[in-house]
Amino acid sequence: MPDEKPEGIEVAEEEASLVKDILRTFSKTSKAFAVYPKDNPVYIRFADELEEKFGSFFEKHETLNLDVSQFSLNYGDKEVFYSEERQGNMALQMYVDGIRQISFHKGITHEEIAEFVNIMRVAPTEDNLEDDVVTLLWEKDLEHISHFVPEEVAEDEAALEEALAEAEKSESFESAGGAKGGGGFEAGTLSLGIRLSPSSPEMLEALKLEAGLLEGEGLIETAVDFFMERMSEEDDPSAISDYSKQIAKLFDLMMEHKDVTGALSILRKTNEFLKSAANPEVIGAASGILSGAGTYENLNALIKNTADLNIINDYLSLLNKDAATGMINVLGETENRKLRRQLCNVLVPFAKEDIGIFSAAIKDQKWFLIRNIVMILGMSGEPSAVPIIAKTIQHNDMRVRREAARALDNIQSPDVRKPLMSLILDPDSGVRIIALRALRKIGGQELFLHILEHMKMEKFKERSLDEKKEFLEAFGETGKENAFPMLSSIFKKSALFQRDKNIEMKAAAAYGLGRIGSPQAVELLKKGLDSKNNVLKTACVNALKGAGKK
Amino acid sequence: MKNLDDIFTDKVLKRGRLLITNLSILLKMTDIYNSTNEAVNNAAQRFLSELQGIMGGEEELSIRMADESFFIEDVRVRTTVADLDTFGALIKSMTERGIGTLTFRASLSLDSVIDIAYAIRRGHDVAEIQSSVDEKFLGVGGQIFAQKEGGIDMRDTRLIARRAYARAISSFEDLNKAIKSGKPLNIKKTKRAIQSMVDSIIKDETYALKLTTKKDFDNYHLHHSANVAVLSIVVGKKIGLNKYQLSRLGLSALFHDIGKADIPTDILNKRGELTAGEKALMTTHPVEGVKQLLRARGLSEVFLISMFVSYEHHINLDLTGYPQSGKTPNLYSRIIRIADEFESLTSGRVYSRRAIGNKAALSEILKNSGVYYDPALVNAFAGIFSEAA
Repeated sequence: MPDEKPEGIEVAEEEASLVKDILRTFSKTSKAFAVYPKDNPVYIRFADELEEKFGSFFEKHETLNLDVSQFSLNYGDKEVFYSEERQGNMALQMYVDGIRQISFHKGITHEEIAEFVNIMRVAPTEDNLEDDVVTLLWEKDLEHISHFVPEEVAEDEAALEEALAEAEKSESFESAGGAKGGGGFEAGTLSLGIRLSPSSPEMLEALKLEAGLLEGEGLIETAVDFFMERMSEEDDPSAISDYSKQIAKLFDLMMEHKDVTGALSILRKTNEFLKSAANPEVIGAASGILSGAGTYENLNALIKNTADLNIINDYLSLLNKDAATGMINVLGETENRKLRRQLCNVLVPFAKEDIGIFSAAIKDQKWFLIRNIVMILGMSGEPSAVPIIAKTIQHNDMRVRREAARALDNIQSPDVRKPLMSLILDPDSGVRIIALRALRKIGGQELFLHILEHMKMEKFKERSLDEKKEFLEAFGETGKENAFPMLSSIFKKSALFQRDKNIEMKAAAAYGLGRIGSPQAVELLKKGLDSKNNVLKTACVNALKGAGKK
Repeated sequence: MKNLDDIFTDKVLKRGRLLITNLSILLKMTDIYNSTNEAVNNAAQRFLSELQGIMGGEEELSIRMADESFFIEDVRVRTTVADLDTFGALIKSMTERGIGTLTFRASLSLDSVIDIAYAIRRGHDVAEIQSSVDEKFLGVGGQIFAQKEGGIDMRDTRLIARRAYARAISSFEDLNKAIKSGKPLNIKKTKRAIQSMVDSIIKDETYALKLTTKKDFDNYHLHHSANVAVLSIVVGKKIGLNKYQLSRLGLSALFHDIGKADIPTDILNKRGELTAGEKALMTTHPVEGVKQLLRARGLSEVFLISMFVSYEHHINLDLTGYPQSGKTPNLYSRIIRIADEFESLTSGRVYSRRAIGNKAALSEILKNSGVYYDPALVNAFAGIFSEAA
């Protein structure tokens, strides 16, 4: 039959204008749908506007029929759409898919309009080898949208069709009894000789429910299990790789659809699967799935799509060290403190596995990231982390240097001494105190001499009481009897001039004497109990307690 | 130069709308006016004029209504927005009376046209109209033939069914070639074919089932896959699956043996017994099918389900069969298991045994219901044959 377009019925300009407006709105709506999610106000506004335009048309008409040509849509005798664009051109897309007429009927719903817009968006994508506008319209079964596709028959199909039509004329077709033995497909033509128990409604309902499980999330879950089973049975590395890639794709699909719970489920399955896997190829392939889940992109998507920190924590805890780089990048960007804490906790074991991952991050511009990295390294307790931490002891932000001191304190290694020694010379009091406390745990003659040098510094006296206390305590602790002469001299010194500072020095010396704990030191401290100065008196009391004396 | 068919088709395309419109208007006039009224006369004249213009020298002309469209002979009358009211009114009139076709004879006169119009208006059903028209038109030469077809033209449905079946086989053959050459699988054509198959089965499953009885041993595996698809869709329909699910079932049934794509055709179509080596090769096809689908296409619902079906369609309910599995096959696999077995038995699965009839094949399946086959699905399958007419 020739595909000839009949002449269109004459249509008023006003009416055609209305239709043009609908199609213009359709194009804008389509673009909005591509950018905004369903619950976005912009999405909703465009969808409502399109529905209104259709509504205006259907106030006066029952159906909107559009004749489809290659680059245009006609309403009656009026062209209401024309475009020669190859992309996003609904006339061309429908034409290419064989549609020659599309009709919208009164009663069309908001949902049907949205479905149609999405069909026109989805169908023409280059990698869509499965669906076109016709198959999607069929699947969606939109009650108020119909279309006409003139049939075209290929030569081979025509030949088979003809053969089937010929076969229809034969008696055997009518009786449809198969090769022999009789018994057709007409109802009631077979007497089976047995009584069939009909399936109960419950059984049928169960079957339909089962069919429902092969859609959406249920299908994905079944597919993941299926591929894992195939992996475990397989010896061929390329087949194992193919299966694991499919699981990874399913994971990506979940994340694309913002179904974090579903994605997490896949990770859990993968984790469990790995526990029982023995084949190195299978282990490698399955591990790759976890690696893929830990990319920067996926981690960002995770944070964007859920505020539930428990889910985030579960997700992060399932990842392997390949996720470390991604996590570090996220750590450098997120301001959520709890999340930062979670990330740091999860990264600690990775530091134990591979300290090298963190060395690049130490050079980052962001002070807070470096601080977190230093903290992680400290928490790992790995001696190999010391050189990396040591690179930060000159950082211009004292918060980083303080963290470096804390981190070094956490690592049991002789290598921490040198950087800590540098840190007790830090311009920041907090840094010095933390470093000194760490060094006190190590102790040694070198520290004693170092502190002595400190105490000789002009501005030592100007430091806070807390700091002076720390230093002189350490001095007494490390020096013992060697420290006594200097400490007793400070303790006995008159405080007439620069009274406050000198009192503080005396108090600090008291703590130092307490650390020595010798009879002479104790005797001095007891004399200090008579002091009228509360700071000094308190220091003596505490020092004596520390020495085990009252 | 155009042939007569083309000329006729051209006429229908140009004038068909006007013919239908005038018929509808004429019938409407009979609601308002009596037969002597000038308005009725004018409407009848216009109708007759168009009718004769299209008929040319032909003895008769049929106007057929199918799926709310009009066909003049087999040429579809195109509609536009302005036609909907008038066409809709005629569709309603004909549907209410159960009329599928009106055949006008060349010897119609203006009076007989008017008489026909009133006979249709007054009549409640085809028999009544036909009897009154027959009396009226004796000696005059005009007759009306009307068929009550419930608004669906059976010839049209059968054509669609044959076309869908042929297209399923043709597109499946293309897919097999694509697999062998490692190209990505474009299944749009196949999907359309299966969707069309689902539609035709919903309308007339008996005819669709009869198509499966045409066995082609030269292309056994292609026809076998298409037949299994038809049988599976029918079972799916019986257990209440929706259209979407039926199309998924049909597609995965079509692909169930895709793992045989790399098996030499002479083994696939071999008529005698297979050697042990050939049998072993054949038993690899479930797993090979999964791999073929993975390589040729990746992720989509259709392909995922097809992979499950490829793997499971030879696993029995009691987990015997192959490949070895500890899991009960999914619903679609269980349906296709039955359809596959039935089709193979009735085709004389070329490489093993001679074909047996439907009854014997069904008995074989019933014998193993609950062991190899899901009993609820066997019931549904048996229902194809044993429902009351």
